[in-house]
Amino acid sequence: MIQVSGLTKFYNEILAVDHISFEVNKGEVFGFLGPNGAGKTTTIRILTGFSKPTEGKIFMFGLDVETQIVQIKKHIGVVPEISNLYDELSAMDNLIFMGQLYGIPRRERKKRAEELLKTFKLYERKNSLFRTFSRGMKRALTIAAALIHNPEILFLDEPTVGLDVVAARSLRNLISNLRQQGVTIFLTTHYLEEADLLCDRVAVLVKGKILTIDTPLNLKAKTDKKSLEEAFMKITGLEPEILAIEKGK
Amino acid sequence: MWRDNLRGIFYIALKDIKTYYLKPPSISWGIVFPITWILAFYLRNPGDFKELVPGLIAMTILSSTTAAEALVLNFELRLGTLERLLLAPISIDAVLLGEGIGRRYFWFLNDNYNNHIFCANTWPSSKSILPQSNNFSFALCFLFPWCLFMRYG
Repeated sequence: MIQVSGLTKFYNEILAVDHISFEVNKGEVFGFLGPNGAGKTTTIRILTGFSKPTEGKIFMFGLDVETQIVQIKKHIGVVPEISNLYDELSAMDNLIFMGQLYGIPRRERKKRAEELLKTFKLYERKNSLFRTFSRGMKRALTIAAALIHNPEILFLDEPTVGLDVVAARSLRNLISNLRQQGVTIFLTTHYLEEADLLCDRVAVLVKGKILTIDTPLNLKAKTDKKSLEEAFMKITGLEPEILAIEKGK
Repeated sequence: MWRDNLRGIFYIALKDIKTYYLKPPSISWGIVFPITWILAFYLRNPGDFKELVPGLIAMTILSSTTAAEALVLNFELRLGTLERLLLAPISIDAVLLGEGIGRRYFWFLNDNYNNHIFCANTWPSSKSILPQSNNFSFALCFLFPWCLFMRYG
């Protein structure tokens, strides 16, 4: 589904992504883990055509992201870190507008928008303006908007940031359901428990470099740790820092 | 591809009109601003109405480019909604053109409709001048700021 080779990105002289290579298979949930500033969002921005790589090649569905991004966009959905729909439009109008941009026929887009609103339990509020929604509802509607055209790949950038426990849990269930429907999911997150629960494979990214790519189970086994969080600390070399902090206490 | 782009341009323009331009402040500004300028031009040189036409063109260009388009794009950029548009399977030119057309067309209709009513009531003899000037002013109002915007925007 996604093939990335030698991807590098410089912002002026700052190296954000350093020769990373990976592949994402059809129907899997691929997690991109790393501390702040590791290059997760930069990678998503390059994969979705917002930013151009300094070096490297990316292919999605066999198409080159640099030259065929418009065709690729028809098959991908993106949920950015910040919910970015129109405050002045209602939930229904936001989804209909997205459907219009993706060329979904009139009757179908209304039906699809209603289905999504029901799935995300927002149907009762379909005529409410986006700005009147809670953070969790905004997040849910942003994901619904990314799904309006039935994408084959869904990019989720920190999907549960700022959500309460119930909203985050419901979102995780939704991601699991999407996986069952065969949607390939590319997920970035700080929450390692979330990655452990959801991801088939994870890549650990630090300072723009991929340190390892494996299943959560294998990572825990390799590092001889019980949780993915502990395994992550060991892999990234952050474990001594944490121990020092704990000793200081 | 060109059909996708045309569709994108149309719906983005429609969304802008619905989201931003049909708001009361935008409409009232579109009424007050032209009237003020017509008065200013007329008081400075109370001659034939034909002499006001260049001023009206300039006013339409000024109001459409400064009062809304630049603001809306910055607004969309800040809220992140521009990113949402850029994720659509249309070219970046189509996104910018959609934003430009919505603004230009709406403001043109708004300004010139108001001008027409105001001028026709104020100077009955000028009724025949405005429709003739509209084609030219439309071309100028539409193309000139758009070219500027595409070049420097």
